[in-house]
Amino acid sequence: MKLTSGNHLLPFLCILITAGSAGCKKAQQAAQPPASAMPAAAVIWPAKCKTERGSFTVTIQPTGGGITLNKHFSLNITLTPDEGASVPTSVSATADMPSHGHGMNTAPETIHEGGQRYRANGMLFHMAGDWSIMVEITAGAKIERAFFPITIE
Amino acid sequence: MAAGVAGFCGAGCDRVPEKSRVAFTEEETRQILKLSPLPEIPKNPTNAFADNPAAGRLGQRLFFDVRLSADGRFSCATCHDPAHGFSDPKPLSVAMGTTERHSMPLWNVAYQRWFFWNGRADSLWAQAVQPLLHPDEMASSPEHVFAVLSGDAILKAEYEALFGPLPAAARSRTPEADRLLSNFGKAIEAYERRIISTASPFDRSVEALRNGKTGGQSDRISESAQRGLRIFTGRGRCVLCHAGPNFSDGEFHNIGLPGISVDQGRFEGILDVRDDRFNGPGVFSDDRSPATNIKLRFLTMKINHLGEFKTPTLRNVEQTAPYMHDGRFATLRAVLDFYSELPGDPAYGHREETLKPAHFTEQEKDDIEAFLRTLTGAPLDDSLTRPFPAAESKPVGR
Repeated sequence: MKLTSGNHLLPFLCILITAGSAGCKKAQQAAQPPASAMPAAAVIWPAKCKTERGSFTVTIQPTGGGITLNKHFSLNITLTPDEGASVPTSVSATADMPSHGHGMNTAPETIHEGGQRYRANGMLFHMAGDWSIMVEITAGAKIERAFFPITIE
Repeated sequence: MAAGVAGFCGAGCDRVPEKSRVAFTEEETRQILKLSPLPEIPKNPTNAFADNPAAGRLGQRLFFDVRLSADGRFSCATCHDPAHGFSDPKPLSVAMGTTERHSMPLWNVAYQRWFFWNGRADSLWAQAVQPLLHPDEMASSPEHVFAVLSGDAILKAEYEALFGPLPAAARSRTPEADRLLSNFGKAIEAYERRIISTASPFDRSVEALRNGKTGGQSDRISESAQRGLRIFTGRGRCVLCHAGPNFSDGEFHNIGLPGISVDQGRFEGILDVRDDRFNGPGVFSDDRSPATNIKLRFLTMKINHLGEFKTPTLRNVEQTAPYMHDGRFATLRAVLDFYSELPGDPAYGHREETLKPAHFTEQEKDDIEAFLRTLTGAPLDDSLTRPFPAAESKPVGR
């Protein structure tokens, strides 16, 4: 499912914590700057979020420690099911720029790495700005989604 | 409130020189620093000869060699003229026929991820093969390329020193012919990777800013250009797509150029690059591994790709008029007039949501233009912008 500018206002958006912040706020992830560029706030990974229906807690962490503008990356995904949650039959990840009306130009593929661990390969943020990473879990008859807003510079 | 940085006058500067009156905020400064300098040229493992000087020399010979076209009148340089920023001053190029799109400038082409306006090639060597064969461009054939190479002692020697013996023949669509064409492309890439913009006034200004130097007037861009830079990175939002030191995100956008068009842009380009027998995972690639070819492996096609075209670099942009994929705008001013008002409906698809009429004043347009002109570097060394004179045409190894 594509996240549109209409549904990004759902109240289930999760929160990433930035370095140095005492409370929760939207993440500002510094794309890897040239060596001489000024440093910017960096997200403290991993990021955690409950799905909108509340059956899973989703933890994500990009491989390599962060996300670099215009570079492919993989996303490690770990699920923590709540009591009574069905066994996931599929897990996928994608990302959109809600205010742009488009998402990534790639279609990531998610592989099951065993247990509750998954990896989405082929992610790419090609523009700076506000992105929303969506992890979608199909479990039993339910589709559960978790959203992680992140700003890429 | 963030402390202002007076133009490109570093911290500690207590006198604001004439050319440095714009006070950039810390955030603006941070954005500016991302735009320079150019990083190292990305490697291309699919071409084992990409950074081979001998291949670059052969590529340069081939680039300017009109004998390679079907009628012996056109070369790569016909439409990628070094005197015009390695582009064509005509909106559409005229060679064996008339091309469908404007000739893309070759400045910093080695930094691109996709090639052509619609990205229908995933490497520079795969790109180079297409105009060679296209009936509206050079209308050549493997047989013809073979005849030119085998009939010229210098070309033959240089080719064979790099790639091994020429085949006995090169009939179209045979593996031998495709190998010949791919080697042609790889040599061209080795040359084109050297078409890199030199440091511009903007780069020198950023360097001074980064080093916190007060610098002299020569380190500064004009006040008008500084105002233009502020608009470029700020309310103009130009930097959203013209991002990073190459002033291009390397991707595709529909800016909603009006008119009647059947050009599907990136939508069609995705289909083509997947089918290209010269693509990265293909048999003529020097590195077919999934890791190297990740961009093609995960590439997806969506409806919003209709009418999208690649973001061109703005390095040396004042040299490369006319502008846009169809060359419709003769001047930078015309481009800014378009972005100012975004007139009409997109010819195809859906305009990028973030594009809103900027309603630039005439002064603001002057300022942005002034800034864009600071992206012009010194000319390339003359030895890179012309065919080798006969006296220099020595076989490799002598």
